[in-house]
Amino acid sequence: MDGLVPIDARSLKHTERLATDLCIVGAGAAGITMARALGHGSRRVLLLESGGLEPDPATQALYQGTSVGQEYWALHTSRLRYFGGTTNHWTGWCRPLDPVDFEDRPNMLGGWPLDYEELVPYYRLAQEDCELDLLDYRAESWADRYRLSLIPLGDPFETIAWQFSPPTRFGERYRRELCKASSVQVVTHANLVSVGLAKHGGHVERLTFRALNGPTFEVEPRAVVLALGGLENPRLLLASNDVEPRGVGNRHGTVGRYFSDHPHSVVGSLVLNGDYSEAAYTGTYRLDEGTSIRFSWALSEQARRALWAPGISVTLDPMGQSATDSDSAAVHSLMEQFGAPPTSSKFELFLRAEQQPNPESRVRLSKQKDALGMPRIELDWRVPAKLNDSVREAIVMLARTLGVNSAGRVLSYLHRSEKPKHAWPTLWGGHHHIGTTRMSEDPRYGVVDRNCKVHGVDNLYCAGSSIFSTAGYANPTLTVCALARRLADHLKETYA
Amino acid sequence: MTTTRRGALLGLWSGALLVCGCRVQFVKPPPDAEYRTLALNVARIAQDRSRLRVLGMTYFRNHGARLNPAELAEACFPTVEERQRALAMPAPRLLEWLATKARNDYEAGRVESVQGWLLSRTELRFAAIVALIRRL
Repeated sequence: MDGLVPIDARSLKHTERLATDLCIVGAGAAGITMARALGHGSRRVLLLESGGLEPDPATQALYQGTSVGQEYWALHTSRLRYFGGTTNHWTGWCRPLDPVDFEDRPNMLGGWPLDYEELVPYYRLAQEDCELDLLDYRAESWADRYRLSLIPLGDPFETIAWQFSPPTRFGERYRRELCKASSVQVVTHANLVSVGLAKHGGHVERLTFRALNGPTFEVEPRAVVLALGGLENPRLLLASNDVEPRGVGNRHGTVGRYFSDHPHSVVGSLVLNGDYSEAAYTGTYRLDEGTSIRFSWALSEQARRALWAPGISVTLDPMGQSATDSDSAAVHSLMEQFGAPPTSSKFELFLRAEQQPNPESRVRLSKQKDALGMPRIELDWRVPAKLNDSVREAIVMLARTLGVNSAGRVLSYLHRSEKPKHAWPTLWGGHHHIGTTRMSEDPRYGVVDRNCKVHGVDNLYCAGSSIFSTAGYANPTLTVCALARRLADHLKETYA
Repeated sequence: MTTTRRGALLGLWSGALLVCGCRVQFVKPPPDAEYRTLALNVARIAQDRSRLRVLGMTYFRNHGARLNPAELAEACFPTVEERQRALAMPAPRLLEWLATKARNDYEAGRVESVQGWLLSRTELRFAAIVALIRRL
């Protein structure tokens, strides 16, 4: 072995106690980013991961659960439980939240208790964590840099850019660095089964871990960060109910509520004016080994403020020949006649939307138990009907702005007469588990405060997408890393 | 009262003008006839009638199959001034004008769904005129 192998919890003694300053539970994007940020100080950092360095079916099965709301992915396939976490199958889509996402807008429960500017320095660090270029997501600057022409578009839509991480497999990429770090100790095969509060309930005294077919041991930390993901963070808090009957940090019943994903749907198709190139919209674009980028369309920040609209973005995916049916052929003819000769191919309009925080959309504990005796999850994902209205309106606005610019014509699957109103053609999530320990200064509407600390518990923190106050439309990993960097700075000061 | 020769000629000339004017007024076709002509002109500029008819018939049915070509042309060019300008226009300029009207529709939100296609009213009326005028 190369000496860079973590400790395997199965080799620990039963009832062994490990003392540390900071205990980070979960070695995914958030946990690894935090451990790296804290790795060279005087504090002792323990990073514990449920899985090993490779996937293992028995460990992965601990993620099994049921879904009772909107149809959802099987919970044990939606995420990965080994070193590196879900970054092991991450596709690499990156984009920060927009400033408007942090603002207090109607139906957004107060927005975030911090603003975009406060997160900018951490987004810069997160860009490096995800092996990306500069923190620049303006479509125009990338179009200039790569000499690409943008499809003309007007308010309320704008062209946005995504950057693509290689994608960084955080486990593989940073394992060596972590194992070399002077103050970090990595432990694998360690499953957290209980967050042990002091009798008064306001302080974590110990964490109990169990290895599958192995010992049970405890960690006594000065501070704890739960970085288990948006489904497991609430699961552990709810299941740790020996001192607080409703679970840790759950006096107001908020743990597990406000579950959001980004509703994904193919909402229509587009026939584009042949004068415009779709190349930068339909695939990642890379020049001179630089960062891969891709353009898509989104409701502008200005429009979202003015219309009280959620975040909505639309990506173009090629879907073959366009004039395959009589209606499409007629639209082709119209476009030719009206000075917008179409391309021969058409494109799916792939939606990523933001759902507003809804307390009824939630993670609960089920009566079923896993191999460690832990209650499994019951996910009740609820997508509000009014999101369908917002998307319908947005598609019309997109059709209008494309029409004004003679750039294309839109077929909306939500406007077909045979579809009942509020019916989605298809709808699925993006494996983005958001909001279940949301950040709010008011404990009635959130689980953690602006420093990611659980309300009412002085040394317990959460990291990852579970703390997002609102979801925006952007994929969460970059923001997860930025928030982890910010929390690491806070812990450096608090536990100096 | 004396009548000069010049005065008599002027009187005759005025009377003739009045009569001619009345006759012009009388023979001028009513607006719906002009709109029928205009609809015919619009249908003539369609390049791919068989394809456009599919869309046009759906639009026609969505509106209860009540519209006729003249009414559709009137909806495209509702004022007297627009009608007369359109009637006098050669086909390419008429098409350009329709395209401008379609862009204005998109700008103003005059968009309708036909089988999910979100198209401007002018485009749909154009297709419906083509669908309804079978013989040119």
